[in-house]
Amino acid sequence: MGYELQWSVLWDHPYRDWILEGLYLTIQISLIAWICGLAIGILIGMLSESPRRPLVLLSVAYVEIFRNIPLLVQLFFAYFVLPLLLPLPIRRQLYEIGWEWGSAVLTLTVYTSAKVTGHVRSGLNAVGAGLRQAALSTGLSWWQMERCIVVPLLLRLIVPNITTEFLTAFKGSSLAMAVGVMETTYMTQRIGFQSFRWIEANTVGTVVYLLLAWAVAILMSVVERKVRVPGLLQRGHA
Amino acid sequence: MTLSQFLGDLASLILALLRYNLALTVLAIVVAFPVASLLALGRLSRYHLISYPIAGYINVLRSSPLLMVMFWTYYTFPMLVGGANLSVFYAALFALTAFEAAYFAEFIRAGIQSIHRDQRLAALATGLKPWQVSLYVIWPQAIHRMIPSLLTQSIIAFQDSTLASIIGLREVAQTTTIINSVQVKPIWVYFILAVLYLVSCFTFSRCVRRLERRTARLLPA
Repeated sequence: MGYELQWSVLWDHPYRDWILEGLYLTIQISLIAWICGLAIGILIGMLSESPRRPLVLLSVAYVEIFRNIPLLVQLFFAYFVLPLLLPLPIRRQLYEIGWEWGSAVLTLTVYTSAKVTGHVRSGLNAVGAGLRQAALSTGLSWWQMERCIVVPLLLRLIVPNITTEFLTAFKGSSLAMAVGVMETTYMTQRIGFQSFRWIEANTVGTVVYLLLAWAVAILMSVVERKVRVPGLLQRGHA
Repeated sequence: MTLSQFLGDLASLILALLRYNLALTVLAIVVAFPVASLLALGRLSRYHLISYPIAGYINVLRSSPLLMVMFWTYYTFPMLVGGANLSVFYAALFALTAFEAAYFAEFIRAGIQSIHRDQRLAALATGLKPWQVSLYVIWPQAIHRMIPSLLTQSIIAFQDSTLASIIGLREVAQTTTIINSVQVKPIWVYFILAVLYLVSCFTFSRCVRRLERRTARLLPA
């Protein structure tokens, strides 16, 4: 074998700082993408409630386009192509603020929002016609029905799926290293190349993602228990 | 950009897509399915000595990014077995297989668990042995139920195969980047790449959805 594990290497200067910086960027990018993706996804998903057919088609197309193109391809598109489509002053601005970071956040946000839109659409199906008819027959207007009955129920129904997308966002943020964002995966590889301590570096990277997944699972299981709709749908059947 | 240039780029992209991405995906699925079946059986085992380590494997793989798994197989595992060199293709294949096996195992487990207990009891009452019940009664029904989700996961694997470009495999995403750096006209090549994926994955996912509907009609839960 001839390979001796030296875990203390990871705590040496500058590796410890690299790991912490990487962790910070991973959490930052994923959180922004998840929160913005959630908001956009719910909005676009609600378009399919609209009586206007073009709006419904828009939400369908949104899901299909962003779900069927690999995240990495979307990221390359955002990083290499998108700035070229914009006028020069804006392009300069983008490169100045660091378009690596910007393109990663943008791509992950759009990807998450497309997945959330898909969940919202199937959640709207699960709410069912009977409940809507019952709401309308009590004299609520269409808008009141949407606002007071459909949306609150929908938001509670899709919580398990939102948990999944949270985890996906953390994993997806690792792709940002492909355009040079120095997040956890990038930093662990950097440590590997610098110190040849591959096993230690990869272990710490894997453990970071495991801990993040655990944290999300614990946090969201509390939320899921709080908002569960009694007797309507169990987890895994939504 | 001339037409012949466009066709040339298109051809080299499609070639890379078939030669690397499709090959990776198909091989990974073919190997991952039997492995995942064993993992699912092990996970459902009554013996904790078997079920706990397998549950651990599945959970670790499912919470790590595929990219991390690829770095394990490409840089780290060769080192563990004493500096042997693993080619990029096999490292990517190994990573994708290990990764998808964990996801497949969960779908297979869900498929097996979706078959009602009474069926097992009824089959046992007819005098079949336990392994016969599993093989002839539970498995055929479970497989019908899980095929749509396994195929959907396969589409995701096909998309994920682009990550192999990051460890240096010259598959379709990297080919695109190379063509782009030669011609300095990125809009077209990246657009072609996106459209290739969009068309193939969209078509396939529609077929899967149709299959899913048919399965739901034939085998109601």
